[in-house]
Amino acid sequence: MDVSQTMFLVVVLVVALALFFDFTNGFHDTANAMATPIATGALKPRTAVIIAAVMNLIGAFLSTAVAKTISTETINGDLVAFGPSMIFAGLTGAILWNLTTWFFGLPSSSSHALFGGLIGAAIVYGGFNAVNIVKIVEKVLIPALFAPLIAGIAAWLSTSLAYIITGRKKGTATGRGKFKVGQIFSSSLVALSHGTNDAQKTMGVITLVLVAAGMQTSDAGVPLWVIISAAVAISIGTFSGGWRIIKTMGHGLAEIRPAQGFAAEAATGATILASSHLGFALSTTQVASGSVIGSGLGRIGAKVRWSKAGQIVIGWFLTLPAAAGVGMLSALLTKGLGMAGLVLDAILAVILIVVIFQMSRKNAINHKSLAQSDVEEVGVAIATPAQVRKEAKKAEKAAKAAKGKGKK
Amino acid sequence: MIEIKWNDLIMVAGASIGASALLVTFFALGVRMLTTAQQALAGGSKGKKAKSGSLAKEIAFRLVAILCFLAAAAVLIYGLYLILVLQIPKPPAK
Repeated sequence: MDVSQTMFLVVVLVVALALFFDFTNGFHDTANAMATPIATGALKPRTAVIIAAVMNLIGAFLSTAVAKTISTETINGDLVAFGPSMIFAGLTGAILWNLTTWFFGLPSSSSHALFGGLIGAAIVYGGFNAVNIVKIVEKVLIPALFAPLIAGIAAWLSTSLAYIITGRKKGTATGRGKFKVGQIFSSSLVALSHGTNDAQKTMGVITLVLVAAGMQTSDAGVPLWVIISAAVAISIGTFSGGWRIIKTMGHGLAEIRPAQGFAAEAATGATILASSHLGFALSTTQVASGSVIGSGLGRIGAKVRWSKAGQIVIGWFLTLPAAAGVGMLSALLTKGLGMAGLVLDAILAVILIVVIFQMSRKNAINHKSLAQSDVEEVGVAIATPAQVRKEAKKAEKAAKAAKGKGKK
Repeated sequence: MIEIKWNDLIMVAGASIGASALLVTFFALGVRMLTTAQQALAGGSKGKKAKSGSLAKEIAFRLVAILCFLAAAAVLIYGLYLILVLQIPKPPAK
């Protein structure tokens, strides 16, 4: 096999892996837009994922200009100089972390996973100097800290407003079920913005590989086949439905009703768009999770599962270093063993992916298990400390009253 | 040196909170007006005058509800416009 054939094989492998990452990105992030409309019954699970898939497909075609910045700004020097093998190693880290968090139903950031994987691989290829720590803090960590908080406050305020405006005397209808109609539009907007943001990362990575392999010049732009394949991959991934994460975000974090769902999606959409407008690269997943918690706090009597929220936040902090760790291990193989290392890395990645999928089948979650019964299950959600104290006082009063009656 | 763009962050917070509150307020007002309209019609069933009065009320509430929903739709469309505009690559600075 001559050098050009080897390079072609490497490029094919990296493109396939990048498209698989795009697929995992799709099903990992379906929940961002569709968890709340499914939870409130505004959309049936299957209908919701079809709408999300179509919106992601359309969104992916809206742009070809963003993806490159995320890798070129945080890694000193050019990713292209490290070659396709480094990108392959980075993608392995991102995919394996994405699948691990999906298995545990944790809504972690696919963008941060990609980011972490590439950083880890770049450290192995170019040393620690290859990583621009300042840019990572500015572009990733600061937005990661503030975006969910801002979205949470926006969702809390919006939910409170919705309940105040539609509040009525006891016994009269509030009409809050009508928010379900609004949810269809607001969730579609979130899905569309997700498609424009996330599909591009894969397009950018594939284009970088093509440039690195000398198959394209750096100023030629994204080829049409890359746009189409990335759009289709994220769309199929979205259609597959990351039911585990949908379950966590729709039912596991907070008890969500239509007005809350609408407010959460409005807050998610507004935060993503406002941040993009001012150049903050943020995770749609973190924003959506923050919104769900905020809307949970915005309705009096609603309950937030703080234990689950804590797990999710730990997942956010782990995403970057964990994906970087896997990316580094992967890069050690591809750098140390060359083509043989790349093939070995691919085989190991496939084995791990199959193992994770097999393990997930033991307690499979699909659109059928997300039926109405799950919404009712939310009644067992863990209350906030204030709610616990309130309920304890109520119980105490009731016990005293019962005691008093018994004496009489 | 790490440079935190506080002004930008405050702007993001203000725009996000303001836009979502605006959208939800318009939609919630629409829901409220629509529900009131339905109840006005249901409440005015006694007498011819009362019936026509409640019908007028119902129509007025419905009109206001439509206006509120249109305002909410305008906010959503502005979001869509931002998605489209943001994606158009800017020419490189000279």
